[in-house]
Amino acid sequence: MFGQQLLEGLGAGAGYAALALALVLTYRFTGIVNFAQGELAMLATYVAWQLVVSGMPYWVALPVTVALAFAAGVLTERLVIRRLESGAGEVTLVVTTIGLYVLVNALATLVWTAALRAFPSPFPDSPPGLAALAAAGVAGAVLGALALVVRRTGLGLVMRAVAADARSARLSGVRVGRVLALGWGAAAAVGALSGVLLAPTLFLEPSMMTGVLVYAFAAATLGGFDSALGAVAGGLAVGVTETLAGTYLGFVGADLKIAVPLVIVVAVLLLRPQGLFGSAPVERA
Amino acid sequence: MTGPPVAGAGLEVRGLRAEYGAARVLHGVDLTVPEGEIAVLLGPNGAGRTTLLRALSGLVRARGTATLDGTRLLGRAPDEIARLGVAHVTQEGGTFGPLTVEENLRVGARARPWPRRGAGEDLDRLFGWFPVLRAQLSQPAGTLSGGEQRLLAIARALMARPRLLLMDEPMRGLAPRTAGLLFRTIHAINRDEGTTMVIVEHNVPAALEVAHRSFLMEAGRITARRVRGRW
Amino acid sequence: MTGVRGAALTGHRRPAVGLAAGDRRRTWPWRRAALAMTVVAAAGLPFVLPPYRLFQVTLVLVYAVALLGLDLVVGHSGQISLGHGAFFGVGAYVAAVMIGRLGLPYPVTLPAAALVTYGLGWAAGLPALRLRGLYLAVVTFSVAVVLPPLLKRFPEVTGGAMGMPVATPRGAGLDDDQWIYFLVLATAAVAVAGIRNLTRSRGGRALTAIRQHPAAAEVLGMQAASHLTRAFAWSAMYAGVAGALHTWTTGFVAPDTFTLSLSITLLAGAVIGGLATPAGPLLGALVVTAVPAAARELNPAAPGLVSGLLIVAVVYAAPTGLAGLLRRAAAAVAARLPAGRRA
Repeated sequence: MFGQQLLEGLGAGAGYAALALALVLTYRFTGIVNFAQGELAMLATYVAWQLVVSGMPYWVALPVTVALAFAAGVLTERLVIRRLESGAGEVTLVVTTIGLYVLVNALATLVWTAALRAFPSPFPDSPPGLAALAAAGVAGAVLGALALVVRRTGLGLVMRAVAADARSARLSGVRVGRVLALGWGAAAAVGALSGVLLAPTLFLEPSMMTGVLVYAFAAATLGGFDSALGAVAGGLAVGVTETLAGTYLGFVGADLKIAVPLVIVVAVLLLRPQGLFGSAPVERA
Repeated sequence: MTGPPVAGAGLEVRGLRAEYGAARVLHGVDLTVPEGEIAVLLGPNGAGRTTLLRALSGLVRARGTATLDGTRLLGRAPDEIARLGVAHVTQEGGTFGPLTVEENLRVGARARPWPRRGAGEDLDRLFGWFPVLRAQLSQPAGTLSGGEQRLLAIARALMARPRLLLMDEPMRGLAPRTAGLLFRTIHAINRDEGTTMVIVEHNVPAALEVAHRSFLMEAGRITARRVRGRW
Repeated sequence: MTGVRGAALTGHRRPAVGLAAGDRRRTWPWRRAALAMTVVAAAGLPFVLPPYRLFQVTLVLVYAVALLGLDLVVGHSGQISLGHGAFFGVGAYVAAVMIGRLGLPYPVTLPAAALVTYGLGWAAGLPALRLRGLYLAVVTFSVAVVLPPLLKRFPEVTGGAMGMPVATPRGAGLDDDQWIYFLVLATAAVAVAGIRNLTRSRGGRALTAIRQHPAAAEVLGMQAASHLTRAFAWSAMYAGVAGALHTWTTGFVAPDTFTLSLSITLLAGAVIGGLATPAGPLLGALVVTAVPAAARELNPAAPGLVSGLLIVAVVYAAPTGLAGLLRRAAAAVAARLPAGRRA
């Protein structure tokens, strides 16, 4: 029973980890917290659903969706983010992503209406624990491949340089604009992965990712907002904590599980603001 | 007294004007640095020397004329200018902290024109000039001392095989021995590679030892020029 | 035209003329006249408008109070809050529970809501405001998402998911909605005065410094955090008071009224209305009440589309919001008037 809960927690945690990683990617590259990340993932999930119900096999629809999300991420950076003035304040940046949040949500409602739908599971006959584990496995494989690209290739090297110091990268001849677009594309792709992995357990509806975003924020905060590894570890930790708290802590129950990430965030900020793996100074100014 | 301009080669600047917002910093700078020479920019703080370097590397928008070997520099993005062969080592240094020393150097090679020759021989040459970096190849650049990071930044700039190397106060904060070593290395690089250099420095005696020509900058203008014979 | 502004328009300083040079002849007192007219109009409104329109106007004033508070955080402090809908909701529920469950008289609910939300704002702001701006956004976002489930969890107190009707304040001699309108109007006037005092105080000027010059924040160090926390707590209090007023006006509370959507709507209203401007909160409140209602006629998704587009449009094209646009328009009109009128 406990083992089952643990597996479910890891499965959910994999989804949170993916969205948290998407958040951390955009934050590291552009210094922006993308509040629309969850909604973009939701949009991708609807696209995946549309592909599946139109007859495409699940395991084809998944990579197609991720590729489309990548393209959407690149477009978003080119059209929306790059147009922002370089001196734009924090308020402007966040408000822009909030505007995106609202727009994307409305777009999804317009196209697919707010009706609840069920998302088909890739493993319809397996027990939920096993399905969760498989989902975690897929996420792990994709994230692992991503980590390999970043660590070992020239492209990954350049991306890490831009994340560390964009101006010096420019002076070294790096086309920073392209790298940023790539970063947003990768973040959108990873976010799409999150949505598709979590969709079988949640109902498909326009506000499905809002709750997930809260978990993802907690995961990123716990891991340290500038650490990719931290985002993944944090996601898994949050998933397990949330599931166990929901089952074993009576007053939390199923409805108040959403309070768990808030508690985690406040605790981390009070006790260890840079999170488990974060390194950058977090104090004001 | 700028000497007869060698047609097309080297750095030519005419009437360079730049401002930060409403504050004009450069009021029409003229200078020429023939190919393969080291030029030193002297002057008080606030004279606009850093701004001049930034204008040349594209970090600051400027008007007027600036060409390197006849190629226009103004009006281009910094990464474009870097790929044209201009390397700028800023005052802040600019090493990529989380990346290792080797990775820092490999990033520097990205500015090279295709085909990018093997970095191996270049690394060897660099280690010949900066032996201290060889020992720390796999260490994150952020863990190096301040002086070592400065050397790393310069080495990274050199990985691009630049035609023009801009350095902003390279000796600032370095221990005297390291500073002396650095200047001898700069001199050796210029002698062996023929890289044109523009260096902003406060350490006047040391700078004048390596410089082929020097410029005094005050309040956004060149107020004095001096040329020495090559040695 | 005299002084610096005159110089900006004509290109150099002109010698002082008119009032600035000591000319004490009566000139038309624009500002005082406008203020008097506004007061008269506001007082007369309830006797002129039909009840439903008066209800809408009252709601606009309620949201304006909330936006006054939010503007303190976003406009003056330069921070992001995505949780003001939650403070609004807490204030609303405090008032509802006190009136509906505890049977207390409605005037007590206002200070109670203020106190509770001030404390909550302090608690939410304290861990986050020592740190970079993104953490306040994250914390307030999470608070906003957690509130509705929390409210639904304790139906004995809150009335659960279906909500709870609440008796609205009654006044002698006037209709209910007229009385409520005057209550809200009075509170709004006090709120405006309060904000003016706050922004002109030393604390307020410290906020402006922090917002405009990050170096100032660094020098102030931990003091910056305490300034920001206090401002945040005040702004949460304003939202809470507005929430209580909302309960008085609508006579009903339900958890799904106070979702993340409300927080986003408030933020949008603050930005669209114009940050750190006197008229911004009122203009924002107008937009917030008028636009979604009109858009919903077309399509359930339309309010979101229109709001999202408005936000993005304002950020790119009119960063000073509607208030800024109106001011520019007024200046353009004033520049056309003959010179004698302006001295």
